Amino acid sequence: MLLPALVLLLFLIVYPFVRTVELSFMQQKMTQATGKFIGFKNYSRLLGSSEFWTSFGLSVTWTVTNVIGQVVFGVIISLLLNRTFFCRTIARGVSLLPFFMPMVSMMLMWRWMFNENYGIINSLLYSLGITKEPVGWLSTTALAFPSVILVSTWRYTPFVTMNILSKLQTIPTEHYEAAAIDGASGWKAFWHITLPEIRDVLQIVIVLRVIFMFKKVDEVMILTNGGPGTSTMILPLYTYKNTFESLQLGRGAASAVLLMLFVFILMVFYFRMFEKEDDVR
Amino acid sequence: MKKLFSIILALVMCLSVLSFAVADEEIKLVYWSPEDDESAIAVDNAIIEKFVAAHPGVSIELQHGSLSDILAKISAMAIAGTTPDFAFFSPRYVAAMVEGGYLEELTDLYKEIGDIPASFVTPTSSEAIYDIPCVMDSICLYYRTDLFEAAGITPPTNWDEWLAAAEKLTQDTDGDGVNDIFGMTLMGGIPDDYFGFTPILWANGAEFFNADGSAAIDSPAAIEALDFAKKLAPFCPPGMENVNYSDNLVLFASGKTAMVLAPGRVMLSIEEYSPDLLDKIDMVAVPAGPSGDKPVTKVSINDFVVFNNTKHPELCKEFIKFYMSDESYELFLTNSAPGHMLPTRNAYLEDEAYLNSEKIAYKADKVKKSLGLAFDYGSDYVLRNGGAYNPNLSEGLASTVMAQQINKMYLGEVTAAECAKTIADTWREDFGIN
Repeated sequence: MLLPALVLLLFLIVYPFVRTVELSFMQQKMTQATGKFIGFKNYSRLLGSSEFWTSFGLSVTWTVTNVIGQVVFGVIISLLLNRTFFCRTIARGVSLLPFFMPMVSMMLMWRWMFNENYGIINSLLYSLGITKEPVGWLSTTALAFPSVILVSTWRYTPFVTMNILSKLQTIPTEHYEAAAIDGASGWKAFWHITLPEIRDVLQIVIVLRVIFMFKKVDEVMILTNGGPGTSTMILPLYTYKNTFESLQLGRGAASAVLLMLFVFILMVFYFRMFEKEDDVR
Repeated sequence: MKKLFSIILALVMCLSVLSFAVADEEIKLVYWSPEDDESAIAVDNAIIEKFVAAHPGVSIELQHGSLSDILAKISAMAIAGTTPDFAFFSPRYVAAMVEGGYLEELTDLYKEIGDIPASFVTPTSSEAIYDIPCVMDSICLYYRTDLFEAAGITPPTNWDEWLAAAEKLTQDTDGDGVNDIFGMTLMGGIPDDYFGFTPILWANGAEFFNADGSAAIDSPAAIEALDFAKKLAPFCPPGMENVNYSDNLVLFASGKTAMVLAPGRVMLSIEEYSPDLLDKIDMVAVPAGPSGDKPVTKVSINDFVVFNNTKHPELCKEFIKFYMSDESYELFLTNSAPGHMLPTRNAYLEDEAYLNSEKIAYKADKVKKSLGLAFDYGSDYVLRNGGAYNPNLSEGLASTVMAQQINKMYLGEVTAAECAKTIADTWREDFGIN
């Protein structure tokens, strides 16, 4: 019964993983059918490279800011959408749109919106008198990374919204009524009723968002391609470029293995932290 | 009834066996091209249709891939043994393919076609020819004749004049204190920045690699070229550090800039965005720099190659010969990005039918000029150093370090010398060269 699933697992996960680890110990270009075993040289080169650690730092910043933004805005929006108001259904649909729209089209749209010469954002800022000169949203090192994080937060907040909203709808309203009778403010109701109820969902959502965001490459690739300079060169993109542009299969594989290890360590740490909290409760 | 059923079943089985036999006789070739321009696809399909009509039992499937990851894709396909039968791509990937033993020799086909300059053929480690140069584009310095006239300046013939023109033509035309027309536009974004820089490098007599394969990007002449490109940057529209190939064309075509290093495709962009500008542009070769001795145009040749795991090499060669024959070749040149795709065959330099064709005639003077500049001053990556073969060329040009460092230079994060040194040091380490 399990055989088909095991075969799929073997070919889609186990074999690529083992092959990647094997490649990480080789010096092999993409134009070569075989490589040369060099031990841990790829790893020592990467771990001794300032570019690698810069990319790692950018990835951590990218992941943390994205996840915080998505969770905070996702929870706020889901709380709002949980209330009863006119056209709530339409509002719910519209709020989920960024997540379901085609990624490439959206990123190209944002790229044009950010364009220094023709973009609508600069045009609006200029017509409102806020700026007198074009702002380099994607072409200056100071603004490119925050701009990309903003776009990514906008895109993936609905994922958090969807999950939290689903949970919010299962919370009995009597809890809030009782809290209101006891004189609890909105904030206290949120802290003592809502948050504990959505905690489990939040944990899963945060784990998923961390994993997804740490390995994300497409938004950054389309918006800035790691530039300007290397100011948005997050680790997955660094890995991609090493492998498919510099054609260094071995080095790219080593970078991919290190990326996987970082995420794994993060997850182990996270789950242990929440296990302890669950034990305390 | 059972007998009838058995007879019908036997007939059906015979027919299916027959169809398999017929299918076995049908030959299917896969033709791979990175040209995703609508007109290019339409022309390719039209030529395929004519060839297939003349060759019953043959079908050709046209497949496309992105220009930016050709080498990675084709390399992976070559190693897996799943390459197309033949392909159309840049000669800078040919050397790596030949080195890997993946290409079919095409020396006889080249001799049969007969009028392609030998200087356009990709040099390899052997005397044999592995690619048929089919078409090229010619990157020249296009400029706005009306803006130059109004400013009282002539097209630049050296770098001082070039820089002075860029500065003079960067103007605030509506008096709001912000420049709204710019002297120059350059590709400053990753990964196209090195491509935009290439003609400037060569015009200064500098190279990416020396003839012996050692790194040359950190030579004094190369650093001088990098420095000059950086000096042009302030006269480019804001955001040049993120400008790619298409943005570059659009900026000039929409009238935002007075000069651009571009191929003939810029004329197609002008026809799309501002057709009235077409009569207000002209071009010159890229002026020689202080360390250079002659102007340059950067040609991008695209070649046909045949992969040696094809089961039908002679048929592939026959298709290429058909494609390069007058009838198909003219169809291709006059319909696939006309004026941008230029012929590599000598016979077409003055060919009246080509220059008077409907889609070329109204801009024939410009097409003829860019063609002339290509034949007079044109050079491509693989043709540098007298055509000396360099096994690291493909990977050197594809490496991320060059695009990143040039971008950082435009951003002011590194100097020209630092940029050059980092690129050269990385290549030396990666390729084991001097």
